[in-house]
Amino acid sequence: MGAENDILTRYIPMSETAFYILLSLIEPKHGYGIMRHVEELTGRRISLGAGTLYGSLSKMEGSGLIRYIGEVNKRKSYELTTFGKRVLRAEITRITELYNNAKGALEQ
Amino acid sequence: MNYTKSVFRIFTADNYDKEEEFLREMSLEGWHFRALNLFWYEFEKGEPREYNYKLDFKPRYNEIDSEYLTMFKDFGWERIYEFRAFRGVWEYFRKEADGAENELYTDDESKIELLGRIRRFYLFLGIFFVSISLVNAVNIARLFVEGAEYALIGVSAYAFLIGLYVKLYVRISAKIKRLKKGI
Repeated sequence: MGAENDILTRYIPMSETAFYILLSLIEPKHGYGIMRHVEELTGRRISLGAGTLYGSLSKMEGSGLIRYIGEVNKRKSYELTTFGKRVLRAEITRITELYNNAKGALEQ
Repeated sequence: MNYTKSVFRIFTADNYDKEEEFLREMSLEGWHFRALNLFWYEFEKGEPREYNYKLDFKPRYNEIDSEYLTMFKDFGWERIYEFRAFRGVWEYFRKEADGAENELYTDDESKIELLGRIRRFYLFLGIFFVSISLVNAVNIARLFVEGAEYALIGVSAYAFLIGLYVKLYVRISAKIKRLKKGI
C-alpha cells in the first residue's frame, strides 16, 4: 500500500527512541513498562521522558505501527502490529548492514 | 507567619523554561507553587525542597485524559496545576529531584514538536486577536491621519499587540532552529 510505504520511508532511518519503543512492543507493554525496559536494554543510557513517550505512542498508533490491546491496571497496553513488525524488521536490516561494515573496520 | 503569598511575574509562552526555573527556585526557599491567576503565582509555605517543575502544552484541552495523567504519574510527575488558555492548556508537573529522569521530553524530535505546537497555537491566537481588533485599528488610524494625535495611543497599542505575537513567533522559531542544528 502506498500509504504504508510513505510511513515506512518516514520511519527509516529510525531515531533511537522510535527503535527502542518498537523493539519493546514486540511483547505487550504499557508506557511505564516500555520506559523501564528501554532503561534495562541500554544500561540506563536511554531514559525515555513521559512527554516523549506519550507523544510517540500516539503517533505510532496513528500510523498503524502499534495497536492498543486493552487496559492493565487502568493503563493502556500496546503491542506491534504486523505492519509495525515489518517496519522494525526493515530498520534491523539496515543497522545490521551498518554493524557488519563497521565491525573490525578500525582495528589495526 | 504567612502561609501563602502571591508573586507577580510575566512569562511569555516561549519562556516556559524560565518559568520552570522560577518555580524550582521558589521551592528551594520553601515556597511551593499552588495556583496561577494570569500573572499572579500563588505559593504555599513549607519545607525547602528540591523540586523539578516541568510544563507541557497541549493545543486541545480535551486531549488531557486519565491515560495521559496516569502515565506521567507513573514516571514520577505529579500534576499540580493546569492553566487553560482558550482551547489550549499548560500542564504543570512537579517531581522530587532524586537523580531520576527530570525531563518530559528527552529527544530533539519531541522537543521540536512541543515548540511547534506552542508556536502554531499562539500564531492562530495572535491572528485571531489582531483580526478582531482590525476594525478598531482602521478607525483609529483614520482618526490619526485626520489629525487626532490622541489616536496615536490606539495605533501604538495595536502595533504593540502585533509586536508581541511576532516576537513570540520569532523567538520560538529560533529555538526550533537551534535544536534542528543539533546545538
